[in-house]
Amino acid sequence: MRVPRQGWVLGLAAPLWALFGGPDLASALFAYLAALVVVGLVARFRPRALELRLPPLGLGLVAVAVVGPALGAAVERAPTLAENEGLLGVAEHLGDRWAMERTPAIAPGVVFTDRPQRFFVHAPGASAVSVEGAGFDAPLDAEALGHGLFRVDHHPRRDGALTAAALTIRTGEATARRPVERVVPTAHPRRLRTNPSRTLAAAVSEETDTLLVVDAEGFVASHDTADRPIDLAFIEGPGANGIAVLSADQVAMMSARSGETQMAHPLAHGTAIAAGNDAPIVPSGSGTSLVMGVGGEDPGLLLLVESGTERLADLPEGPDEIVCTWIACVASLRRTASLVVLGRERVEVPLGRPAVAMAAVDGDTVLVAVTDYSPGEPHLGNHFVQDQLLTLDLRTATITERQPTAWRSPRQAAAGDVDRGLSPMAIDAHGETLAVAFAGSDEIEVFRSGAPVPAVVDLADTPLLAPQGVARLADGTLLVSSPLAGAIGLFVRGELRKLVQLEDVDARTSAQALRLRGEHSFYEATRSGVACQSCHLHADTDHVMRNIGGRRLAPTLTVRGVAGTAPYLRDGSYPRIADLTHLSTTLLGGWLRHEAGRGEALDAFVRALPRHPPKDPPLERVREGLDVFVRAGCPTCHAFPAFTSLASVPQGSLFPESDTLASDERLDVPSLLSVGTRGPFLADGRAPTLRSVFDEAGGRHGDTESLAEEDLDALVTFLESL
Amino acid sequence: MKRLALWVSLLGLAAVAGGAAWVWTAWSAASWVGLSRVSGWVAAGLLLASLAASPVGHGGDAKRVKRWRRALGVGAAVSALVHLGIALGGPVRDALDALWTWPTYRAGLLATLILVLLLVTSFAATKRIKVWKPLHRLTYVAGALVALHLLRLPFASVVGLLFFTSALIVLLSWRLLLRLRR
Ligand code: HEC
Ligand code: HEC
Repeated sequence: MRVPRQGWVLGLAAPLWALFGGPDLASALFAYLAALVVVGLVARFRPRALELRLPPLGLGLVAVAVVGPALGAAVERAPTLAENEGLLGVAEHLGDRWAMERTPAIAPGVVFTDRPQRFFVHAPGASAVSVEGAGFDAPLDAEALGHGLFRVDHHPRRDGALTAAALTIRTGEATARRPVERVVPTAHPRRLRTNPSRTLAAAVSEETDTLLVVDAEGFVASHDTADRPIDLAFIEGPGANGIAVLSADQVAMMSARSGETQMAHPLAHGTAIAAGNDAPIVPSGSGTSLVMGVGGEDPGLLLLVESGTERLADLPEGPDEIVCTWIACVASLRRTASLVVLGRERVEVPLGRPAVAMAAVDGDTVLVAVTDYSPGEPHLGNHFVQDQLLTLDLRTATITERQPTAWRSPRQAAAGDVDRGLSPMAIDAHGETLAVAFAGSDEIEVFRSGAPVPAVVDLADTPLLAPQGVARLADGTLLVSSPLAGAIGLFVRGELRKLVQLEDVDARTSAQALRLRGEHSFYEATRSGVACQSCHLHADTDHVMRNIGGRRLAPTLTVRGVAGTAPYLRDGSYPRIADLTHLSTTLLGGWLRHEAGRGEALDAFVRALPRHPPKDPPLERVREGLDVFVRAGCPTCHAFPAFTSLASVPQGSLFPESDTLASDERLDVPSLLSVGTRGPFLADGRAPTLRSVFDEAGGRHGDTESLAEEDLDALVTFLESL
Repeated sequence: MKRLALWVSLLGLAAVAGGAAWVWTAWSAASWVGLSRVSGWVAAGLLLASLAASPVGHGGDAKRVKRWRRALGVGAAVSALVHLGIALGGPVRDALDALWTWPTYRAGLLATLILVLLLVTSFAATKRIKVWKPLHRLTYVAGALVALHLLRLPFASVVGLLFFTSALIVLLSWRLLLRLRR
């Protein structure tokens, strides 16, 4: 049998590629072309050489001998080749893109049954749009913004909660059914607070609008609260007696046992609450002493008084937590990574990293848990995490002591690893005893003054994983709250005596169970002492510049509201959320426990994190801003309705003037949903405000150079409403 | 034959010239993007058409089919070059490294390279080097590279990608079917 010409070419190209080529298509093509040229030349000058005849069997053997090794090389190179050619995660990417491009399209594609949400619908040509869903009392009418874009505000409390995993978009006569992810959150009791005499403790669950009260015997009561309770404080005094519950749009005084609401004041953007008995910033004789932190347009500390609220102090942002003693109130600020001590005077204490939790030890000291602290210059720009407890002296407003918490127990094998005292999430100080809840290593450590080592309460064998609240009652009963368990546990001498459940655990769906497993992985630390939570504080961002994977400095991104925007990270280098397990298993030394299917579980958890609610400027301004957005050509990349085309562009083509990044650095087009609540902006965080994003020179990032100042204002207003 | 090729290329060039005039008067990053999309789809469409020529004209006048195929192929190569030029001036200006380091752009570049090689070897003067036929088979590879190019392109739609890829698969299977029947 004669060897065909194509056979010669392939027979030569295959070993050429195996020997000299790399894991990419270009080198395979070049090998083919080179073989083509060689065979062409031979055919021209020595045509007889190509007339080789072999019996079919011999030909087959030769073919196998020549092509076999090349095939082997191909199989070996396939994974790298797929990565080099951008083929990893193609299915997810195309799925997400298809969902956005198939109009009418709706974003975000996740519907929560517990909280208000804003959706955008892209329905070009439609004059009116409404959205129907099983369980809704009536179709939700969308607000037309222009340019085929519509906005739908939905609050399950008002409109009814979705009961199916799809929405129907009605545009005039036509309807289109769109699958969505439906998230029914489980109860998440977090911070535990006690009454002054330490006979009662309570926690709120923001997801299920409940307040749970326990005592040393266990369950006392559970009460429905207003929408999304965020924080609580016990207050006992002549003016008021009960539990103050701060929720999304009000603060209410509830009786601990009966749950009766004694009074309620509307309050928007509340972030934290504390009882400020005798605190110097609370004017004496003001009735109550409830100090509340608020965010929004006018962040600061407010005092609850008879007629409403009174302003105590201005702050740059709503505080994460407030602790008050008779010397001062301390507010912890996340974005500025500092504490503000409000005593006789106001002192700002920079920490370098935001405080995770605080507790007053006595009148003049407060303990603060942080993921790292170094006096003077903060450790910035690496993935360094060293959990520690700081002692803040309120009289001098200085950090007087720092105590690293991470340590090694006999469980560990490799040198340098730590497996105890990871990710402190809650502190409780009572008399001589200090209890700290560690979400990273599923334990409570109880320190007694004088004892050299803490007593460890191991939670790994209980349902109370990733604890986020701890409190000791007067009789020594230790209370632990765990959002994963949806429960508060009672421990006596280190033994779990009782579990007070906020909901029926057996009724959990498999989707809920998967998400909770993911939540555990999110909080569980690796052998290097780092958890996702260490950087993504409370599943959000710590606003710190980090370098993950030896690339460049970048502010930690929030992980909220990222569902449906594959690929992930600024450079789109992670095709799926599940791929982020790679970070933990390689760079961070691997998780403490072996568990299969972490990627899938983490993915389920992160996808179901609600995005930050946007602002609500007047609709007219929003429409004006959208006009500018379209006029400036923004939708070519920030396409409706998710405000991203889910594609990447090279840095140089977008910001030619910037020289901190390589010109071919990949920049994933970020979704602009909730963009107003993020920042700093751009890949290296060089734009501190939304407005400053458009100061970038070059005119490629949208046609903003031709815009007037008021157009830019309208544009920013529009972006903040997304 | 030559005339047809000339016409097709001229049409492409005229479209580009018109586009250039429009860009000149209303220049913006978005116009460059629009122009590169149009030129890219012209090239992709001509490539598909040249691949379709043989199966569509099967059984008909072989000479005419050949003529069409060649004209469309020449048109595809010329418009791919024009498309490359526009991309260099617009979407990848100041990011030329990306042309080689990004798989999406590299795939487009390689597809253009194949088409240009075909173009060069399709003239009488170069036809004597007998590589035209095996080289010609690479048009399908060029098609696959275009699909890869579309996959992660910032400004291409999924619909476009699906359309192109399925057209390519249909044409390839059609051709293989005809070949098997023979
Ligand atoms: C050392 C700090 C650190 C740790 C630990 C960490 N991240 Fe991140 N994460 C970051 C930074 C920084 C970014 C932004 C990277 C960039 O700019 O490309 C980020 C980005 C992300 C994003 C992308 C968000 C988007 O909009 O694309 C996700 C999702 C994410 N992280 C999830 C996780 C998960 C899950 C874990 C645990 C397995 C984790 N991260 C652990 C620092 C960290
Ligand atoms: C050519 C594509 C493209 C166009 C056109 C474009 N953007 Fe962007 N935009 C991007 C990319 C890519 C980034 C991410 C840049 C980075 O990571 O440094 C971005 C970032 C942003 C950010 C910062 C988001 C963040 O989280 O850091 C905002 C805000 C923004 N764009 C708004 C706009 C507006 C408004 C317009 C129209 C005037 C516009 N963009 C036009 C591609 C584009």
